[in-house]
Amino acid sequence: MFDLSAVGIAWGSLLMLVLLIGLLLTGMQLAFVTGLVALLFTMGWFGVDAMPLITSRMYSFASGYVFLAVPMFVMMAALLDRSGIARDLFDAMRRVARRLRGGVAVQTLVVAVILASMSGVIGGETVLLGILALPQMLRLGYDRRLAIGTTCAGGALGTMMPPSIVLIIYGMTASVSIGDLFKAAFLPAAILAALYMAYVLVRCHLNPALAPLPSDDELAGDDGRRIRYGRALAFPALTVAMVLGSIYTGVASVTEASALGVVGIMISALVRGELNWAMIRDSARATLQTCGMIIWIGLGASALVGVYNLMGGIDFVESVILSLSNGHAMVTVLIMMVILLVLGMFLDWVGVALLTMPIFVPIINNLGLDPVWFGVVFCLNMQVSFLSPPFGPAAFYLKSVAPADISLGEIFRSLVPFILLQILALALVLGFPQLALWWR
Amino acid sequence: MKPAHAPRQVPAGTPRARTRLDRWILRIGDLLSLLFVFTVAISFFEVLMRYLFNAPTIWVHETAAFIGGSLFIVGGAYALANNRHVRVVLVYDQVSARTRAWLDLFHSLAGLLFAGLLAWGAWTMVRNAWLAPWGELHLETSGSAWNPPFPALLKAVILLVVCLMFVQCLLHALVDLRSLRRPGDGEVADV
Amino acid sequence: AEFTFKMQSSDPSGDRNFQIQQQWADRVEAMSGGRLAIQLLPVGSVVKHTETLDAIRMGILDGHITATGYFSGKDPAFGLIGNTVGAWSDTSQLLQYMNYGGGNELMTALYAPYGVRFIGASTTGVESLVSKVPLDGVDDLKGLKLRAPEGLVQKVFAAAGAAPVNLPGSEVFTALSKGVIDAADYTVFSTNQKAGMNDIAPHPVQPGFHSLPLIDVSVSQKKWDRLPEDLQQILIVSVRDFARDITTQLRIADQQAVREARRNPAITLHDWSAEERRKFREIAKGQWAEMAQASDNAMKVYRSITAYLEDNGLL
Ligand code: NA
Ligand code: NA
Repeated sequence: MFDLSAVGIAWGSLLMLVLLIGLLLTGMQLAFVTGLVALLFTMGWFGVDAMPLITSRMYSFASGYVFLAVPMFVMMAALLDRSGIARDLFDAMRRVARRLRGGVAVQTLVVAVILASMSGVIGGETVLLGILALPQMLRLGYDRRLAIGTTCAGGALGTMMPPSIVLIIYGMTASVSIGDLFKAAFLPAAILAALYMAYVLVRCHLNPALAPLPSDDELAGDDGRRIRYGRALAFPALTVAMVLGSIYTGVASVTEASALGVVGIMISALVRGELNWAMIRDSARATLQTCGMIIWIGLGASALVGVYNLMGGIDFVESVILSLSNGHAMVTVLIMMVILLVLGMFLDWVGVALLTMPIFVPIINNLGLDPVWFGVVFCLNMQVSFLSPPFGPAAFYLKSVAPADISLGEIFRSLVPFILLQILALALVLGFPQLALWWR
Repeated sequence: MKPAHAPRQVPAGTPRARTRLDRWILRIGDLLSLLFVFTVAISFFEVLMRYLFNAPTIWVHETAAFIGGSLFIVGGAYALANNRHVRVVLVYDQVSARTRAWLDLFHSLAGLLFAGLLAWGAWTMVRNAWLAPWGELHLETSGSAWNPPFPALLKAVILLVVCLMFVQCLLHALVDLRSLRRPGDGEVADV
Repeated sequence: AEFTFKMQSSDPSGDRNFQIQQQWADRVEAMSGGRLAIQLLPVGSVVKHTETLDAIRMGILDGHITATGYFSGKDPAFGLIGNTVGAWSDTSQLLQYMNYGGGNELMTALYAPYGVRFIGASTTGVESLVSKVPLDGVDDLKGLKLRAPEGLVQKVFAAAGAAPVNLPGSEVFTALSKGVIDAADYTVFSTNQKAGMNDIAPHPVQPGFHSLPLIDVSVSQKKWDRLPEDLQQILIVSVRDFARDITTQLRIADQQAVREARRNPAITLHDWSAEERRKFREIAKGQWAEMAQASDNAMKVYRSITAYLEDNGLL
């Protein structure tokens, strides 16, 4: 039988990359692409007897207790999505910022931050804001690109603001405390959100035509309605406090905290008179579906990493990065950033994390840099990956609920300034690690 | 003004099962997905027992991880059944319907190879987890104080699901072949 | 190299243990005149830590350096010999039993059916117990909320009246600092001290009394059979040296860390009396006997260890 290992690790890596991109571009399922390439390389490099390596990787990945937080947070988002909680939150915020120029966009971002501190996944919030906020801004005559960008970038904050699946999976692969990661990500997430808000306000101030104010009639209409939100929102607020509180104080493990969050949202919905069997059933179903997508991407990537490690890939990539950077710590980190940003254009974040972190994190540790800080930096990179074309999940999610005349191309064009803001936030955290580590 | 409850909008349409097997998988998956709710319940129970009664259980963590892990695996067949696995559709969306039909067939055949090789690997893995080297039936356990045979069971779930996915891909390939023979009737795939 | 062995460690690459293992691998290459190269892979890089035995059997890995206890799900015998809670008061006792008291032969026989060749035994050090509350004897364990790894350690603590909690290692620090748990079975004193465990839980029990893992260095039987005898001997002898090397280095690190901790007025070290240690061992012995019932092999382990302890007046 032919022996692929004869080509050596450098050519092997290149061949693997070409095969991955080639198969990816045919539109084949991401999880199958990585998994299949892993299987083919296992066979070619080590022979058919090594095949159980891939299934063993699958088993190892699926049996990790901490990954249970993934379905829990997905379910939280699904329940939130099906209850009226987010809508009430949005309506309550209307009163706050309505006379401000760009107020609805700012309000959208505030709601996005609050939602982000309840759920930890990408998708649900973008969809929610796409339904709640985007039509309002368009109706008021907001600049289309500003409105689209705010909605999309705001929705993606869910995985930057703790709790966050990205941080959980980073913590797993880097064996770093997830609680510490959550603490570290909080301020950078707030900075990112503040940058978005400042951008919106400055642009609207410079060009008032971008964000017309609501008419007096509409304002009067709002004033006429009773505020019935206080009690309805008390429980969701309690849920946020419960989830984040139990994580920050360490009362519960992240997985348990995520389960507490599901219970909290269920109780909130119950108190609000919204909880019913169909809602629970649909949420469970959506959870299975999303898990199938997310976890299988993880399974495929994890299989690929296993084979690549056995091929001697860790040493190879490490030596390439270190020889390029000539031993300068910051240059090394910048090379990693470029790799992450490029991979983030084409791959799903789970795949990026599982492919790169087993290689990057030991290098970071050897350089004496802080792996918790690097986790936050990684998380910011993944914020960019949600928005960057051609594979930009946040854009896909928004497209699925946006008015039909908004094309994917227009969404991606609208996202450019927000991507630049994300890179600015990334640069800030790179330059000033204490933004992530002040609490130490 | 607007309804109190926003109508639920599914990001990319309702499930579209392509074969009868897919429909069955979706139906069974819907039932199994309720186990997530069960997992939430027992995790909540564990936190209560630990903090209110100072009596942590020995079974919740492992049970929750086992159920979750099994559902992760099942989710693969479920997402395959309603065609919701993530793809990069950059090129796929640009090509003609006929080319796309060929691509679909290619994906199904690649999936067939993928699932087939996995089933082979999983078979060896399951044999090692279910039989002691001297041939006696011995289910691999977790080795904890409670010591349930979850490792052996989860490995068996992996074998079952990848076998199921093999059949799924086979049936998809047949559907793709049929639609290639009748041009203009190609399936429209999804982001 | 004429022969290349890919071996997976149970430690991450940044860890001191991994680096000491790497030094052993480098020495083997030098001693063999470059004929035998050992490529050491960090934990989880190829398979999960509990899967290396299967991976060697299937020819995916050529060997491992790992805690034998990880395979108790395959056979409870590995759990019992992998960490005979309370049996050994220091590393030399365990290594004496393994090298000269029948332990190596027993391990060789236990691994043989898996197609795995046991080369030699090592260990880390007696782990210290991290605690927020003063613990001076078995009675203080009653009701103690304590993180313990799964398996015999957890059972013994439960039998001693503690309430063992399952937590991933990465959550231990936070859980301790917030008082979710009172104490934790974590690792050796020097590592605990470095990680800041003793600052948030200032009543460590040192020397510890509860946990001394057996670390085994093993390779694929097929690969072993292909080695010429001189290389086989190089492996056996170098592993014996590796065991002394790693335990000595860890002990020195522990001594320095203990000195540092003693200088810190906020930290109080607790050293259990011989009487309390004996009481704990009595509780543990009950659990060994119970675990021995779980399989024929476990019974063999139990008989071998208790016979050795009795013959040498250690019980
Ligand atoms: Na979040
Ligand atoms: Na992207």
